[in-house]
Amino acid sequence: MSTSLIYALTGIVIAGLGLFHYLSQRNILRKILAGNFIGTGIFLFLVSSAARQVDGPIDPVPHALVLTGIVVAVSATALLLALVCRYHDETGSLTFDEENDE
Amino acid sequence: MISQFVIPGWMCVGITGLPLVLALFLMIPRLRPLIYRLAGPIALPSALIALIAKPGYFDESVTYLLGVSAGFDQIGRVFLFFTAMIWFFAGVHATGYMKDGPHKARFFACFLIAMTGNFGLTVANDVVSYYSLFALMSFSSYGLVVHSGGALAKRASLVYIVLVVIGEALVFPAAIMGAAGADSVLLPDIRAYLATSPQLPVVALLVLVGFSIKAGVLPLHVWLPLAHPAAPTPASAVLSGCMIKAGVLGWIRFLPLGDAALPAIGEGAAVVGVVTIFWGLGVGLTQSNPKALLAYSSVSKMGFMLLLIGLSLYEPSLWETASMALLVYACFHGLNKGALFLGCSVTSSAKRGVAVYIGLAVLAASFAGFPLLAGSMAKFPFKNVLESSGLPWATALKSLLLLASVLTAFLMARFVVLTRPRGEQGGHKADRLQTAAWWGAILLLVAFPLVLSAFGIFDKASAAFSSKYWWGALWPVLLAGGISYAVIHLGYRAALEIPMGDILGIYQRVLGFMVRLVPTRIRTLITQETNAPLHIRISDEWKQNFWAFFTKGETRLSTWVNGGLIYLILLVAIILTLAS
Amino acid sequence: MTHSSILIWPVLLPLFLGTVMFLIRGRSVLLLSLAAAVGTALTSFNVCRIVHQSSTLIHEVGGWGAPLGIVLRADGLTAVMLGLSGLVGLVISVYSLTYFKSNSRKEHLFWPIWLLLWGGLNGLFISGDIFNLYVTLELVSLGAIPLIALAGTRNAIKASLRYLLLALLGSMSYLFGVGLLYMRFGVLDLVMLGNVITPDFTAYVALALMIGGLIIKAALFPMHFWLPPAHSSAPAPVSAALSGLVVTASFYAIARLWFYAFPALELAKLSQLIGLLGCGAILWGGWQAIRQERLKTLVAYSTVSQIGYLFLVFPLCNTAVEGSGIAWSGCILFAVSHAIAKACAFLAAGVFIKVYGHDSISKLRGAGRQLPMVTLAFALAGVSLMGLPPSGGFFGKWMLLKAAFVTGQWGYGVVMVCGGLLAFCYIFRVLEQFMTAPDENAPKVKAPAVMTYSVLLLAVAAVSLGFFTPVLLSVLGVDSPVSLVSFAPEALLP
Repeated sequence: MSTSLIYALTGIVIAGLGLFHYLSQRNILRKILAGNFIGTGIFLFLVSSAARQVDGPIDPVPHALVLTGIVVAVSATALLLALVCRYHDETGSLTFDEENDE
Repeated sequence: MISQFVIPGWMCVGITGLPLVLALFLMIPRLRPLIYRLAGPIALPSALIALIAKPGYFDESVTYLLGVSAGFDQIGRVFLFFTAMIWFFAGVHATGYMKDGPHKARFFACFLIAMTGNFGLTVANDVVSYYSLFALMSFSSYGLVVHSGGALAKRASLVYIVLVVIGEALVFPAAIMGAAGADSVLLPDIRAYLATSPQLPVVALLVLVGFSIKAGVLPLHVWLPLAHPAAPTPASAVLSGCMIKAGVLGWIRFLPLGDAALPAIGEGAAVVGVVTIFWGLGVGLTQSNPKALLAYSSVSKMGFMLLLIGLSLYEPSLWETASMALLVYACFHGLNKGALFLGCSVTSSAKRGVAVYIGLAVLAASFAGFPLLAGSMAKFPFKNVLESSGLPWATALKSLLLLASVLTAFLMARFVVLTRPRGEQGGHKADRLQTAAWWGAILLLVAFPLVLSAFGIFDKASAAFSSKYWWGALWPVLLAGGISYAVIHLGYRAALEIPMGDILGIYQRVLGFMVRLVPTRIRTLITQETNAPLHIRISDEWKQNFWAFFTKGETRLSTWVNGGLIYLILLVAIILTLAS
Repeated sequence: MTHSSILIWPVLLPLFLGTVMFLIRGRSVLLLSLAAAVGTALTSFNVCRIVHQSSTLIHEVGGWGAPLGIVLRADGLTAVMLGLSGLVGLVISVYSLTYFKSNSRKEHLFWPIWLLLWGGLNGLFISGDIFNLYVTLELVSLGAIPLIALAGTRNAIKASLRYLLLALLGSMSYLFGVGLLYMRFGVLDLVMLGNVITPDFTAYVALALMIGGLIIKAALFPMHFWLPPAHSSAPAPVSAALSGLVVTASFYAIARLWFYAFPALELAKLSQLIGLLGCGAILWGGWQAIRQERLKTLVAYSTVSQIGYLFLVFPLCNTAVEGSGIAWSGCILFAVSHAIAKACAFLAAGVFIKVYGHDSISKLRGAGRQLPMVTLAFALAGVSLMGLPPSGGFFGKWMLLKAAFVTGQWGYGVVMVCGGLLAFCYIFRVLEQFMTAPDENAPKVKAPAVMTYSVLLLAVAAVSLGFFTPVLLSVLGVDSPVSLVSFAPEALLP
């Protein structure tokens, strides 16, 4: 088992854990954290694909992709946090309260 | 012969599109009074090209949409001519009729747009244009039916629009099946394809039922008797005179008549046609609103046309004579019915006068088949079809038709009684334009032989001039006229005054049944919001449970976990479908 | 290929001016925003024109080609989409000049974000590789969501938060798919990927992740539930942009992948699954639309329904059957026509909200008499949504139905016709209210002329689109993935 495969599998596991919490947590802040977990897992997976050729040179493209991805993830998180603040101001709650919806 | 000019496709499109152009100018308020005056005359160029066009030329030079093809054949010429003439008279009539009416701009916009649709579909030679123009006509005449805005108009227009949409939905797949199979949008190609296609029965049923809504054939005629009294008189005239004929033209254009036999469907259509004839006559006799009476009479006449179509589907060789009979009959009925409707508004406010009586009498007598007038001429080609058919039940049909002509005579007698000038005050008075349009329509009807000979089909009906047939045509009219006169003269007015609601009850039940097929919510919406008297009883509890299901379903979907789970399920489903 | 750099302007111009807009205030906002809108639209139209005249434009940013650099590509499909975004974007911009006039704070925030969103959309259309698609998709989402929140109401905040959480799930899913594909095949470029891809398990998982993620963003039933609250609570011009362009762009991404990157895979069964979801969308969305009490929610559910039609292209456009390519042109025509008509419907709803202060359908009784032009525009948009001739919706539906018959998949045809009936019900319900006589003492109202006429312009465009079908199809025909013969305009003619 090559090192890069271990990284790739770790990435998948992290993303999977993140996904589980992303779906199951009720608190929106926790959801956001979980979302960042998914992102990190995927980035790890992507970076590991740079060493696809065992003896060849390292592929630079995945690094560029991950860097771009991180920028996107940061801005999305920032927007999420700003929205959560507004949501908390409006409702005083950090969950989607379905019963009070209609 | 005057029909020697090849009319290019762009000219067909341009001239039949003139009313639409006129309608656009309604946007400029200053021009409106002028446009109201031009609403009638704008139809004349179309009538003219119909008259002078050389049949059999279709032009495909206009290449927009999916490939428009326009031009004239014999059927299209006749249809366009009488259609344009009725629109002309109705338009002139409308100029007077709407003089002080509200929402004039809206009325004339709908009127002119419907006119374009109606004209255009007679020259359309491809399925897309036919369908488009048919839709244009149907939807814009919604504005005509609903115009007065009263309770009757709202109900009538609701029934009308629902049926129109059902009709469109039936014809649309048929059109595409034809076009996809033939790999062409041209109607002749589609007919040729259908003649040998195994899909023919399906398409034929869709087309027959879909267009029978517009044509007003039993049991889908329910909108007609509601819409005609509700609409302003000039609108009723064009609805009954021309627009319902667009349904008949639809049958002719879409079905491979004469090339394919569909015995079962043909027989069925013929039977429906005969039932429609007598249903319309019977119910019509009990009406006390003259426009409703005329509407039922139209229903009955459409039965005649469906009978011809049905016979031709049963026995394709009949189509050659039947098509001519259909042409003459449609032309006669359009002109006569249009004039009768215009008469409704002329006589309702006219002073007692010999002239008005004479006009009314001529129209009624012509419709009832009085010798030498249009109605008697229209019957001959019809009889020829039956005689030459050699069908086993042709004799039975002929005697049934004799009964129908007696009943028609009675119907007309009743119409005269209902509309005779009473010299009543009040209401708006028919002005000169209205009266002039009416007289114009009567004159054209009297000149029916000239119209026929202009299109070279006079020989089909010339036998009506032979004196040996006079008596046969005369006695039903005399009988009906005499009995009616006697009845009224002896004071038995009540005998003919069967209340309207009686028969409307039946229709309400028909309607109620049809409405019950519509989903509950739409129905309650319709009944709540228009106050339409479509009494439906469904327990509130059941209704609530039914709707709670949908509301809950949507909310449940949107709860977060469910939403995420659906995504996961979807993902697994995609992978499984791919891997399997 | 010296002029291929014109490709970057529809992206660069709005992004740059959008950034500038953050910095300025006062009267110059109006002028600059108008200049930005016109400029973006004109540069988009220019690309459209050049592609139509010559052929596919390929631009290698900074001179670096694939696989290392970023490659922008504009073929016929891109050109059609750019033209669409130019037209709809321009009208939305002009409309917004008046819509936000009374609220300078919102106006100040609207323009930069809207230009960002617009630039993101154009970038998405010209992206030549799957990773750039990801970035631009994110850009679009990050532009769209603050615009929803701009409405400031509790519902809008909640809807945008929920939308963002789902959109993130969708884009992560997509990104994971991109990673898998890169790991397995080592390329990102769409065309190269299409050449090297082989049907194996990794490719299928990647495909599922990418399509699954995009389905969330395109709001295909049953992942549509975020759309109605989000689209109905946003300010009207934003709703128009979302329903008209953003959803269409997500669909575009799926179509791009399906027909360009994945044709080597065995997709027949998946196409049937997606077709089923499309049918579900048509019926469920139409049904829900009939039940809505608010005009904007009704229009939003109508979007759910119409999106379903677009997804029918996957089962209907079966390259094995001759003549089914017509489904492809029908689908794109339908997408364009829906985008225009839906933007028009939302903008019209915005006029009603502006004038009456609400969009409750039952209280809009008599609006037709008071605002005849806007009502006319809404009715014309309705004509296109119902699929009546001569609108683009009619011809789109026509071609899709024809493909259904050619490929013998009648079931889809039946669903499409039923969808048309449902559309009639919800449109008629609204129009019926509008046409009722208003109350006697109803106050006289007047809509701003700019808004009225921009709505009317879109309405006329939607209805007359049918007349421009041949033009649109000939643009679409530039480097089309589906066999050209089946939908060259000449082939449609007899």
